[in-house]
Amino acid sequence: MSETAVNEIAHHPNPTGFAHQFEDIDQQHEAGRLGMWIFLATEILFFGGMFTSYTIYRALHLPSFVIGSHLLEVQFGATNTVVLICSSLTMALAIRSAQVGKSKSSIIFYLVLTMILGALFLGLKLRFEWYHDYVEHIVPGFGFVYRPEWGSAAPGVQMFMCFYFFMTGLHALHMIVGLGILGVLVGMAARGRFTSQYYVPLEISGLYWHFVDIVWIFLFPLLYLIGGRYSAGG
Amino acid sequence: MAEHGAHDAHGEFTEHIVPLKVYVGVFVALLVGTALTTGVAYIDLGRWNTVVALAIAVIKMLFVVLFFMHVKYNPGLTRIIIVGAFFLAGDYDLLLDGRRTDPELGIQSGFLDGYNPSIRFTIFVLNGYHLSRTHLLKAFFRSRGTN
Repeated sequence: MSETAVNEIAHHPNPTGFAHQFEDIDQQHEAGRLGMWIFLATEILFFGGMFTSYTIYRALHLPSFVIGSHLLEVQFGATNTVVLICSSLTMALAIRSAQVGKSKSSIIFYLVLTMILGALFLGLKLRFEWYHDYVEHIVPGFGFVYRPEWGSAAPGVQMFMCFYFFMTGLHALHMIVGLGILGVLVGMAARGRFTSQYYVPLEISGLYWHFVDIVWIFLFPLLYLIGGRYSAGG
Repeated sequence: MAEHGAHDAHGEFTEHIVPLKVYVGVFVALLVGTALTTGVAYIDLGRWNTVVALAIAVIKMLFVVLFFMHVKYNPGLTRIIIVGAFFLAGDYDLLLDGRRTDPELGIQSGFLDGYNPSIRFTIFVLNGYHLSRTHLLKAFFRSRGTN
């Protein structure tokens, strides 16, 4: 570190959260953001592999995948999409509250709201979709029962449900991790760690939360919609 | 309304603060997109159902990435990472092209014959993307004289 930089740090009190290895708070902010984007890049590759497998198997077993898609209830998928979009907005507003220097109660309010919406997503999924699927015997590995009307397409339907549970399950796992991160952020906000100059943890956690939202934005049409609901009789 | 962070006063790097109405506008756009994609699924568009659903999803993703994730306001390095990740993810399209896949994997040339046109369209787009990327990289290395 140059002598001028040392002097600058010695003479100007550092904003909260400033780590000494960085030249200034902006560089620190940029480094944190870049690190999170690199992590998200690996996440794109992770989910990308799954989306590609889904595309291949859908091409190989199209009639089965259409039947499988009709087993899902669009209204719950759509409702959960709206819930996640709301949670993305409240997350963005939590970061904005810190940026414009609002009180910590404002930051906590939006963070808790985001957590409630995230939990609502998981609750709806568990109660109205996964539990319902279990009762209907369409969970692979948990008493999956072939229905006569599926005919020779039945094995492919089970394959679709494997993809459905694997993809939505992995997405839900990301949401649970996100809820944990939000919990930590609430604790940090309560201790007054965030200021208009230091809000990197809020921002990079927001990037993660929005990423998980984007995954759902693709899962919803791929799993629920592109089977064509018009032939399902509404 | 303060549109910039506090350290803007020092005349240094400026953190852009997204106006509230932009966030609300993006939020409304995402809700409209969700309603649209759900509604369109109930209309028989043949092969175009898949294309329209994915196009709306991509537009929604762009709204989230550009505004909620602040990419519109961020400097170049972050963008390079994002574009790079999509380039890498593009390698998965190799799996979709039977001609370039090891037959031992069980995916043979022409395995898509007779399947849904929308799937074939998706693969056509991915392959076009892959080809254009290959040409782009070749041109890049040629320009640096390291081909």
